[in-house]
Amino acid sequence: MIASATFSVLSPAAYATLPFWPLLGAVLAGVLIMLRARPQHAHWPVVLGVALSAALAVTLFVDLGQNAEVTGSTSVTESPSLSGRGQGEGESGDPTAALELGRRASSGFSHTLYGWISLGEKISLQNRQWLSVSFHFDGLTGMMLLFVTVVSLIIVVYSIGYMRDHHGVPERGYERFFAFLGLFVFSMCMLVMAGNFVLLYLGWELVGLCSYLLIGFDYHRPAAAAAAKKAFIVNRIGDFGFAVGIFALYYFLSGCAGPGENPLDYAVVFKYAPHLADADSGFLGMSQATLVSLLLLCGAVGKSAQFPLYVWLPDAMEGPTPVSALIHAATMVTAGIYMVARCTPIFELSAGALDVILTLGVIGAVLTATMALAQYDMKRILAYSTISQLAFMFVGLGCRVPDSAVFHVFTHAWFKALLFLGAGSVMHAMGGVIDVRRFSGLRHVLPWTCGTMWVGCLALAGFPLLAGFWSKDEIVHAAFERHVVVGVLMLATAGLTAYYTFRMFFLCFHGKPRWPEEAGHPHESPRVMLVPLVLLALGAVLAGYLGVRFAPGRDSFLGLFQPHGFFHSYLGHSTIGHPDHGHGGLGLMYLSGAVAVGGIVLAWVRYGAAPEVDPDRKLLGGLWNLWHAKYYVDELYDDLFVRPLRNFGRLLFATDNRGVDGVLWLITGVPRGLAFALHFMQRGVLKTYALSMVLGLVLLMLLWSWMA
Amino acid sequence: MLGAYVLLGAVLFVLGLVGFVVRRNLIIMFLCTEMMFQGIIINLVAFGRYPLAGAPSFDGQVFALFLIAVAASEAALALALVVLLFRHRRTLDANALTLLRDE
Amino acid sequence: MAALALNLLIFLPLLAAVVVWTLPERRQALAPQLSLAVSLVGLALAALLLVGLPGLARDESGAALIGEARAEWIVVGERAAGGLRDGVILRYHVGLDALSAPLIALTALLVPLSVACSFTAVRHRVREYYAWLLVLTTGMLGVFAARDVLLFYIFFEFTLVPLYFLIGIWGGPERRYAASKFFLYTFAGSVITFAGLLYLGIRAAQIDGLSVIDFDLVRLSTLSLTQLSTTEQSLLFAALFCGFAIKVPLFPLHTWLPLAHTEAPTAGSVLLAAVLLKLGTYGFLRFSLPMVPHGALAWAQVMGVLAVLGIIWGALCCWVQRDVKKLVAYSSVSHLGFCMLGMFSLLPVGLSGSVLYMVNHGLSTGALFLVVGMIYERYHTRDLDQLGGLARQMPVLASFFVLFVLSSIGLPGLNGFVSEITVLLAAFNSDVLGPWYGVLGATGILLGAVYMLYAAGKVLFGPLKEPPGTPDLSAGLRRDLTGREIAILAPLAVLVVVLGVAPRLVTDPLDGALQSQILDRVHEARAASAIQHHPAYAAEVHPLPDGRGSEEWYTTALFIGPEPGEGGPP
Repeated sequence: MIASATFSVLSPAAYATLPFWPLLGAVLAGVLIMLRARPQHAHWPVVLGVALSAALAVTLFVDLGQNAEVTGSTSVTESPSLSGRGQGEGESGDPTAALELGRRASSGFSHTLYGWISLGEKISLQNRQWLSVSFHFDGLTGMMLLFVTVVSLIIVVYSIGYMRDHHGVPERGYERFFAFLGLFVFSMCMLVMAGNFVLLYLGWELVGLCSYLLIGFDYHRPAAAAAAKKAFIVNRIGDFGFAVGIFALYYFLSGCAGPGENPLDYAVVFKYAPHLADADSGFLGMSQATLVSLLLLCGAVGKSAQFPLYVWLPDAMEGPTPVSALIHAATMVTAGIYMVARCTPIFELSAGALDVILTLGVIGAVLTATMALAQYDMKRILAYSTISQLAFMFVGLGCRVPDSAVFHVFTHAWFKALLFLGAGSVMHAMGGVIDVRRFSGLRHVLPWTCGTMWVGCLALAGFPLLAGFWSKDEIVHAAFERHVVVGVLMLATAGLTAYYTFRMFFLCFHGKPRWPEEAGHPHESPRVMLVPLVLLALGAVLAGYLGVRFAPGRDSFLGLFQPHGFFHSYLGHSTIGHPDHGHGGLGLMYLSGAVAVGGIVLAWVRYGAAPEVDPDRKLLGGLWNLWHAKYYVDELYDDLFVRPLRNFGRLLFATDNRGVDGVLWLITGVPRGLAFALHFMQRGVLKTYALSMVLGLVLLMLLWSWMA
Repeated sequence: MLGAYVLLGAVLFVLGLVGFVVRRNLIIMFLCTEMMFQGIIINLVAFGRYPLAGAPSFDGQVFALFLIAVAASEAALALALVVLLFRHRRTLDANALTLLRDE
Repeated sequence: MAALALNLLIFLPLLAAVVVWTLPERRQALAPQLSLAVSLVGLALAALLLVGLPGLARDESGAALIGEARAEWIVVGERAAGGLRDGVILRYHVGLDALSAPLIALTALLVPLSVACSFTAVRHRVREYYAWLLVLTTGMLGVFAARDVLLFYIFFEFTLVPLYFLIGIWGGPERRYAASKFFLYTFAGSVITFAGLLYLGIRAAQIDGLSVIDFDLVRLSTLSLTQLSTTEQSLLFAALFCGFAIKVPLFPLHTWLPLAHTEAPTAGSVLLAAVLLKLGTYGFLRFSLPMVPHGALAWAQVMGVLAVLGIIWGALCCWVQRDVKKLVAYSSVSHLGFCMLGMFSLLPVGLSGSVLYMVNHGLSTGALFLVVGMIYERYHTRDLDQLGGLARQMPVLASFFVLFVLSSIGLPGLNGFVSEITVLLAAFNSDVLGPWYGVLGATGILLGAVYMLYAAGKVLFGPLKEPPGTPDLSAGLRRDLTGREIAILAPLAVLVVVLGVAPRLVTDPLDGALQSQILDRVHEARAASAIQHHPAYAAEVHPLPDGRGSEEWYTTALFIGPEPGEGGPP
């Protein structure tokens, strides 16, 4: 299973230490808390830890790339395609496909640290199977680690400035914040590097925990505490399905695994995954592949905040802004996309599951884009746009182009982190106010923030030549290939995205300068916050060029660029392989560029002067209110699930007290009744006792003499 | 001879028993229990002296001595308890002392 | 040497109890210190004994014990030339094996902690309190160390008495009712268990053709299975079930638990949850499975259903509690459901996961009770609606609370996760239970998060809410945890992390013993009943010589009858 090629720069053991440096930093920060040291410098251990992992990740990225050149001989364009769109499941019997699948299953290297949990074996203990702490390195891991650690580092540095007041005094809980951030980076790296499903689940839950701890960072605010709880629990609903999916995988595949193969390792699962394609799962007539895919999908839907479990993400904006940027935009929420992409060998066996992904993606994209139109909270607008973009990635997954989805994950991380950090910078200057109605014209006081935000908004809107454009275009393209309705809906959503993004931008930065009294004398953020903004802005411009080739010619965009570049060939050396992207579609690129520009222009026309009265609200009326109230989904869930379940709990508890104990009361009623019947004998009168004793004695003697 | 002794013992025992059941004063009741003891002791000695089978032995008398010792110590204890009880409740009527009744 | 250590471990607390009880009044302050010292000595002794555990795991025969001590205690019967005839023998026979060692370790660890947590909480009848606590220690250690079934039963019941007094004297407002209910409930069940054990002992003597009834644990768990009919075994299982299931407690026999936990003093709750509930699970593991495997097989699905019901029922009840201690108590019902689910999957993973679950539940629930006790000491209330936002006042306590809550809801990386996932995986893959048991059990993961975070959120987060006049720091407490309290919780916190990262510290020594002492017995029984009921399966799994056991052979045997000279179906 494990390819013989080795790393050339560092040893696998060295790369395996990658996740643990931020953890060490977090622990050291924790020690600082215990020592009650002055928090002024508490960020150093975490910053250094994350920086070390980032350095390792970059090295790993380069190293994996070299290996890919050595071992991988196929290039992007002429790679044999496994999954032509719309051909369904019938292909799994194709010998070349099986060959390709086998190659992909064995792509990458794994490194085992130690056997974590012994799984025994079905009948005896010989031939024992393990769940190990093992890491898997391939193109997908390298790519994910690259942006996770680098973006994390940038955001951690930004937090040094953000988590202080205007005089540079750290906020309450400063050390705790950095300790949690370190823990998060550790967890996220574990998630990405995991070599088996249970370790993936470990990272999965740990990032959820960090999300919980960081959303609830200001735990004394009830909204923050409630949002943290909601995030964790909604995620757990998805994780329930995910866990059952892992059990099901084990159930279906543990018999296949040969000696020495641990049945939940990626390599083993993907090697035997074709067995799942046609086998009946015994549940609603689904194939095993469909069942497993749908169960795993539950986890992805929860973690990546997709319909119908997206409700936690907007509330999660109660957390500090760097957290929103790091966890709820750039990294953690993309874990669902990562997982589905990682499990491509399973998902592609089930056309049904892919259609479900596609449907959820389309619904989510449209639904949340409309909600974003009618919000005023800057961070919530960004949160809805995050859900909408994640839904784009889902559509990519559903259209059998997981590499495009991961590409969008990659570009999205840069510009969305940038937007959130920009919003944080605004919030920092406005004294914590985030409602776009309460300030405008900030471009004069926050020039750097405004400039970088402008880049971020353009990238999110899909303005041509910026990062978001390239990746979003690939997905829209795949959507049109899948079905024209899907394509049109995606294009429309892209237009809406451009529109609401710039609505927010104009409301903030244009119009006449005014701000709330909380802001005092607003001024630009310190340099420790601006440098990260600039770096991310660079990323938002340049990240997309990893995924395109510079190939001048008549059939290329603007006569210069061809889609599917280095990024896609790099990802080809992973479980994703080289999906078939179809050909042509140059016109679509111009069209989607035009839609983005159109959205921006429309926003300029309606909001360019930052009007105090919302023109959309006047225009749309009831529909706008419905969007503003988020379609009442939260209330619906509360009425439909939460309260009935809680009432059911009350019923059970009452049954415990009355019913179950009541039955016991009935049983104990037998001796109780007997006691009551004989109760007259216990009146405490000594003489009655004596008399009854005598009578008993006489009775016994009579009995004895009668028997004799 | 045995019959006469046993009869005497039985009469003593029954006297004590009846007295215990009908009287209400705790001291009298206590004396009645002592009388029952005496009836038993007479029986023991009588059966030791005139055994139903085998040779006469001192077993019965030994038991009797033990019983007398027990009865004496018991009397000391019981009378002390009765005195205490009287101090607490100002009565020795057995029918009034029903602390052990089932509520 | 080891035998001496084990005997000391068991009986030193009893001796110390006498000393503590008879301390003169002016030396009363010595009682807590003395008890703590004795329990720490016990911990050291236990550690000393556990050093031998890896060696034990390597022993193939599975008969070796650590610190074995054996003596005839009560012997009734006729002494004849060849030994005893027509009698009953009750042995004092103790020793540690791989199955009991983790629970002994758990007990030895939790006793000093629960002694130390009472220093400020218990302020009246101090000497008596510590004496009862030490007596309880002897009982708990004796149960797990006993190698004679009657001795086990004696210790099993013996634990009731001290706990009865601990709840009844030092408990909350409803302590008397709680103590009586606890005592009667568990006692009523275990009397039936006792009858079952007696019957088993007598039948064992009959089967082996011996005239002396003895209750040796190994002898009773290696009886020839063919002699004890399936019906007999099922009935015996039911009898054992009565005592053990109440102790676990298995749904629907759990209603004594919330009350007893709520009313008991902190140390009582801790030991009750961490150790005494394990008497039930340990009973199932040690007695029901190997002694009456046919019965266990026949009942496995019922047990699975009850376990799953308990998981869901307990979790939903947790969610509507206002008393945080009652909430933790109900969470025990849910957690022990997991433990039983794993055990009756009858797979190696499930069994080792189940034993691991016992340890983990002891650590995390014990710790939660300790934390709740510390809150109660300061605020004199456990009402979720009267508390809030304590995290800002007590950051250290809040950190511990959150850690143990996370352990309890099975966060990966902490101990609860490993046992939960192995147990569920086993239930899912078990051919006795099946996927649905795993799926329904897994809802417990979800509901666990719901109620635990609900409780933690209410107590720790949000705006500060304290009942008027609190915190009460009169006993020398601080607002946040004192050094003593941190020292109580820290070892548990360390173990919670260590066992999450390296669960094999517990499971590795176990595997061999589980296989040889329990699973082999169960598989023997399965093979036997498979031959009776499913010839085809039997032929596939355990083919017998000359085609016996194959389908054709059975068809022939069934319709034509066995050929002359050939035995009937075994």
